[in-house]
Amino acid sequence: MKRTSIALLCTVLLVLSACGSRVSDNEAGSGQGLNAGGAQSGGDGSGGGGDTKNKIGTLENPCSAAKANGAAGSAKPAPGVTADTIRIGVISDKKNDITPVPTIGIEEAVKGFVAMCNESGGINGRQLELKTYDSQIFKTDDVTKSACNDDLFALVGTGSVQDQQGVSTREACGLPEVGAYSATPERSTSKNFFQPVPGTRSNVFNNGPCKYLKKKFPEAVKKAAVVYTDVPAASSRGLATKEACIKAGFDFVVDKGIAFGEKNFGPVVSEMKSKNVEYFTIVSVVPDTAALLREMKNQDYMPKVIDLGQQYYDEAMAAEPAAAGAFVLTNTTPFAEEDDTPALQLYSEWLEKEGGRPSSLGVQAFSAGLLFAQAAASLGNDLTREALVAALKDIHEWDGGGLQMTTDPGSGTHNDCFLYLRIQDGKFERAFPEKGFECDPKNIVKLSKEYTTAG
Amino acid sequence: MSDLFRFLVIFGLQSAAIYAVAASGLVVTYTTSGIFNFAHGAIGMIAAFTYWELSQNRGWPALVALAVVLLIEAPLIGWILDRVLMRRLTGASTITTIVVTIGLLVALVQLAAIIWPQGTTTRVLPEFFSGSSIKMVGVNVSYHSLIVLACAIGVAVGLRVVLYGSRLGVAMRAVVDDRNLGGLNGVDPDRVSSAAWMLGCMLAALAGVLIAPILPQFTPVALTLLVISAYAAAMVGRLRSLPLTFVGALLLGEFENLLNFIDTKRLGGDAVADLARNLQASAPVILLFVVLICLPEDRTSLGANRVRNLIPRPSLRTVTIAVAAYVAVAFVVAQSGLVSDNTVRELGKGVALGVVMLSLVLLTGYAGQVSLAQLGFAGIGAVVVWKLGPVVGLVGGVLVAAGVGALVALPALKMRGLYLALTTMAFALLLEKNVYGDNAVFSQLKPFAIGNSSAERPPGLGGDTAFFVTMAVAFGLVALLLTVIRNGSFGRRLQAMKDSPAACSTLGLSLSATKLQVFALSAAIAGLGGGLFAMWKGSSVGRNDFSLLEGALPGLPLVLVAVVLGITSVFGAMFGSVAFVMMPVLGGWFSSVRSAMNLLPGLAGVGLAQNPDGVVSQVAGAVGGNGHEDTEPAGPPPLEPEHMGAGRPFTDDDLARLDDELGLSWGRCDAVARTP
Repeated sequence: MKRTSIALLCTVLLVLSACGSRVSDNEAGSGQGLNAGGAQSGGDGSGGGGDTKNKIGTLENPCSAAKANGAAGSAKPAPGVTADTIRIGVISDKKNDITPVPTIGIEEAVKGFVAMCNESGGINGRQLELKTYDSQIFKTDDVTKSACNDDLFALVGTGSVQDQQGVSTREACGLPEVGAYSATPERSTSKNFFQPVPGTRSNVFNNGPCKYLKKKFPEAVKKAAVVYTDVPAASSRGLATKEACIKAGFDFVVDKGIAFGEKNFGPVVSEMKSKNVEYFTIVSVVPDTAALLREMKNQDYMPKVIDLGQQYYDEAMAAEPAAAGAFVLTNTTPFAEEDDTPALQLYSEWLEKEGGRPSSLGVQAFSAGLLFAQAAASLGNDLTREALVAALKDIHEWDGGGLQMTTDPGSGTHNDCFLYLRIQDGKFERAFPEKGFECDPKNIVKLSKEYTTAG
Repeated sequence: MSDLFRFLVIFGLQSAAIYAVAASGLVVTYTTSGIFNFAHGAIGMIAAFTYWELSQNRGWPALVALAVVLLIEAPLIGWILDRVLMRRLTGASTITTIVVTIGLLVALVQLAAIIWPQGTTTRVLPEFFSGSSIKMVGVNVSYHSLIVLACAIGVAVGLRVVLYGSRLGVAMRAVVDDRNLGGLNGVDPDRVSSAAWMLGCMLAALAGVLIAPILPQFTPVALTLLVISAYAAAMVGRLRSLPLTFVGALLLGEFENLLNFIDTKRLGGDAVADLARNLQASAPVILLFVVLICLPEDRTSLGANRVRNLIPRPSLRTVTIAVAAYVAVAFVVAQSGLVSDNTVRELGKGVALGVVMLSLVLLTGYAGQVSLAQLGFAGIGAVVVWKLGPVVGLVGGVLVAAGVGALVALPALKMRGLYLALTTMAFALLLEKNVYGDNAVFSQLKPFAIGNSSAERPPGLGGDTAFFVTMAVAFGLVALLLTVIRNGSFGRRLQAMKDSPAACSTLGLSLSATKLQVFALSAAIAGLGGGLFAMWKGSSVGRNDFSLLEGALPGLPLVLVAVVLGITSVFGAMFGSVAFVMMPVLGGWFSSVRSAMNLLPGLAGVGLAQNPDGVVSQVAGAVGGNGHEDTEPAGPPPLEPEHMGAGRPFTDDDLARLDDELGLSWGRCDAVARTP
C-alpha cells in the first residue's frame, strides 16, 4: 500500500523535476517537432503532377533554389528568418476526445506543401521549417501563445474549429497568418489575416447558391427549413444563411435549433413533414446530419432539395445512403476532377507521402501554403513580416493554380463563386456549373444585422 | 391531436426507453452492491466500442459479436472490477466510492480514446435491422426503437424476478444491507458481490450496445454523457425502485418531447421560444436537480460513517515555512528563465487551480462535504472579473461566488455523500450550460460561452512574473487561512460534522449554519481561484476552462487529482495543482508517455481504493511518523478533542475543553463523566 503511494509521489516528483528542463521544450506542443525538409525524398520526378520545378497547375512555382539578389532591406532580421531557413507554423485541431472534426488533413496538407516547396529549393533558396501545433478544439488560444513564443515568421495553412479564440493573442504578438479557412467572423476579419477563400463574415453573405436553387426549384424554396445545432457558431451561421436565402426569394416555414448531443430527431423531422417542407438546409456536423437524414428516410419523407455546406464534402457524408441526391457546396475543385487538374494531383501526391486524408479544407491549406510562398518569394531578401503582409495585400487574383475558385485574398473581399456537387451512388458528382465555378459579384449581399458568433 | 399523440406516445416512449435501459443498470448495481457507479456509462461505452470493433471492423456476425460482448466481456469486466476494486470499498467513505468510480469513468474514457482514437475517423454503428420499420400513427418506428423498448420492459421484469424471486437476488440485497449478517446466514458475500457486478456490467453493456446506434455521434464522451442524463431517472426511483426508475425515464422522455411539441414562439414570442430551447438542452439536468431537491433523501443509504479519519493538523509555522518556500520557488520559476514561457504559462494555471483545490480541502477534506461544483464557482469568479475588471471584479467575483455557494448549500443542507455529489454535479452542469455556456439564458454572457472574453490584470501587476508571484502569494494566504481555520474552533466544528452529523446535532451544534458557512467560504475561495485563473490566461477565457466534463481542463479529473494527492491538507493542493497541469505538458514533451499521462488522473482515482487519505498524507505517514504534528506541548492532559475517549475515559477537564472548543455553553454532561 505504501509502496503504491510512494510510486505515485515519485511520478509527481518526476513531473516537477521535468519542469526545469528547457531542452525538451523544443519538442513541446507538437507531435512532430521541427520538420526541416531538405532531405525529403521523392524528388526524382515522380509525378503525375507534371514538373513540380516550374509549374503548379496554372501557377508558376513560387519555390526555387535561386538566391535572391540584393542585400536584406531592413537592418534587423525578421523573426524566424535566417540566411538559409524560414520558420513557419501551422495550428489545427488534431487530437480530441469529443468528436471527429472537419479540420482533419490540414496539418498533413501543410506538411506536404512544405516538403514540396523545399524539394523545389525552398523560398529563394531558404528552406522552410515547419512547427506544428494541435489546438485540440479547446486549446486554440494556448497553442497560439506557444506559437507567439516560438520565433516564427508566420502562421501558414491554419484552421481550427473554435478559431474565435486566440485572435487577440495573435494580433498582439504580430504574427501574420495565411489561414486555410476561417470558421468565425472574428478570425476572418482579424488583423493581418489572409485566406485563399475569403468568407465567414458577420454581415455579408454569398447567396449565389440560394439564387441558383431558387431558379431551379422555384416551388420548393417557398417551403424551406433551416436547422442548426444550438451552439453559437452554428446558430449564427444558420440564421445568416436564412436571411441571405430570403433575399433570394426563399420562404422559411421551419427554423429550428437542435440541442448539442440530441439523439432523437423524430420531432424535428415530424415538424418538417407536417409543414410540407421541400427545401432543407442544416448547419451541424456530419454524424448529426446523417442521423437526421436517416430519420427522414425512416419517416418516408425526403424534402425535394437538401442543401449542404462545404463541411459536408466528406466521404462519410457520401457514404450515407439517406444523403443520396443532396447538394453539397465546395470551394475547391472536386477531387473527381483530379485527372484534369495538375495542381490537385500535386496536392494528392504530397499528401499521400505525409499519410494525410484528402479533404476540401486540406486543399485550402495547401493553397494557403502556395499563397504564402508566392508573397514571400516576391520579397527577395527583404523578408519582414510587414513586407509579407504588404505583398499578400497585393495579391488580388488567386486560384492556387487551379485548386480552388478564383478569389481576391489581398483585399479579403468575400468570395462570390460557388460550385454544387450532388451525392449520387455514394459519390460526389458535379451538379452546377458544368465547368469551373459560377462567379458573380452580385452574389454578395449585405445582411440586415451582424451575425456574430457570440450571438 | 394525432400530433400530440405522436409526440407524447411515439417519441416520448422512444426517449423514455433509452433512459430506462441506461438507468436500470445503475439502480441494479446500487441495489446489489451499495455503490453508485459513476462509470456505468463508461463501461457501456467500452462494450459498445468492442461490439463495433468485432462486428464492423473485423466483420464478425452481429449475433456472435453481441454474445461475446454481453456474455463474455461484460461479465469479465464486472468480475475484475469486483475483485480488484469494489471489494476493497466495503465500508469505505462515500467520497472514496465516488472518487474511485469517477476515476474509473475518466480512465475508461481515456482508454477508449487510446484504443479507438477520435478525431481521425468517423465510426458508425448501424442499428439492428437497420432500415426496417413499422408504421404507427403516421410515424415509422424503427425496429431498433422497438427492440430498445422491449429490452427496457424485459430488463424490468427480469430484474424483478431475479432480485425478489431468486435466492441469489435475495442474497445480493442481504449482503448490501449487512455483509456480515448475510455471511452468517450462509451467503458467501464475495461470490454474491461478484455476481452483482457481473450483472451490473452486463446491463451496462446492453445499454451501450442498444444506445450507441441511436446517438448521432459514436464517441466515448457522447455515450458516457448520455448515461449521466439518465441519472435523473434513476434518482426518481431513489436508486432502489426499478418501477419508479421507469416512471422517471418516462417523465424525462415526455418532458423533453413536450418542450419540442409546444410551439413556444406562438405562445410567447421569440424570448420565450429562446428560453424554452435553452432549457430543453438541459432538461435531464434540470429534472435531476428538481428530483434531488424534492424527493426525500433515502435514509437507508446513510448509516453511520464507518470511517473516521484524523485530519492532519500542520502547525501555522510549518505551513508558513512551506508557503514561503512555495512563493520563493514561484519567484525563481517566473523570473529566471529556467523554464520556458510555455511551461510557465501552464504552471501559472496550476497555481490558480491550486486555489480552487484549496476550496476542496476546506469543503471536502475538513468538512466532509462532497462537491463537484467547485470549478463552476471558479467560473463565476472568472465571469465577474471579465465583466467588472480586475480589482472590483475579483472582490465581486469572490462575493458572488460565496452567495451562489450559499444558495447551493440550501438544498444541500439535508444531504450527504452521494446525494450531495449528484446535486452539486447537476448544479455545475446547469451553470456551464445555462449560465455561462452555449445555452446561456443571459445573452450578455454568450461571449464567455465561446471563450471570447478577456480579463485584465490589476494595475502594476500586468507582467507575467509579477502576476505569477501574486498568484503564489494568494495561494499562500488562502493556505494560511485554512490552517488557522483548521486549528481553530471552526475547524473542530467541521471535523465534528464530518465525523458524525448526528452527534453534532445532539451536542447542540447548528449543522445548517455550519454547512452554509463552509459552503459559502469554499465557493468564495474557488471564485478567487477562478478570477486569478482568468487574469492569468488573459485572453480567450471561457466556459472551456471551467467545464466539468468537456473542455480544456475538465473538472472531474481536477477533483480526482485533488482528492488523490491528499484532500485533507493544503500540501495536497500544492502538489495536486502542479501535477494536474504538468501531466499533459509532460505528455507533450515525451510522446511515449502521452497515453499514460492521459490515463493517470483516472487511474489515480481508482488507486484511491487503496489509500483513502490521499498520497501526500500516506507518504508523509510512511516517511515521518504519523503525518501530522502539533505545536502544543506534548504531555498527558489536556488531550486534543480528536484523541479524547481513546485509552481512558473522559474527564471533566476533557469535557470542559470540548465545550470550549465547540463553543458550547449549555453545560456539561455529568452522566458521561461519571461512567467508569
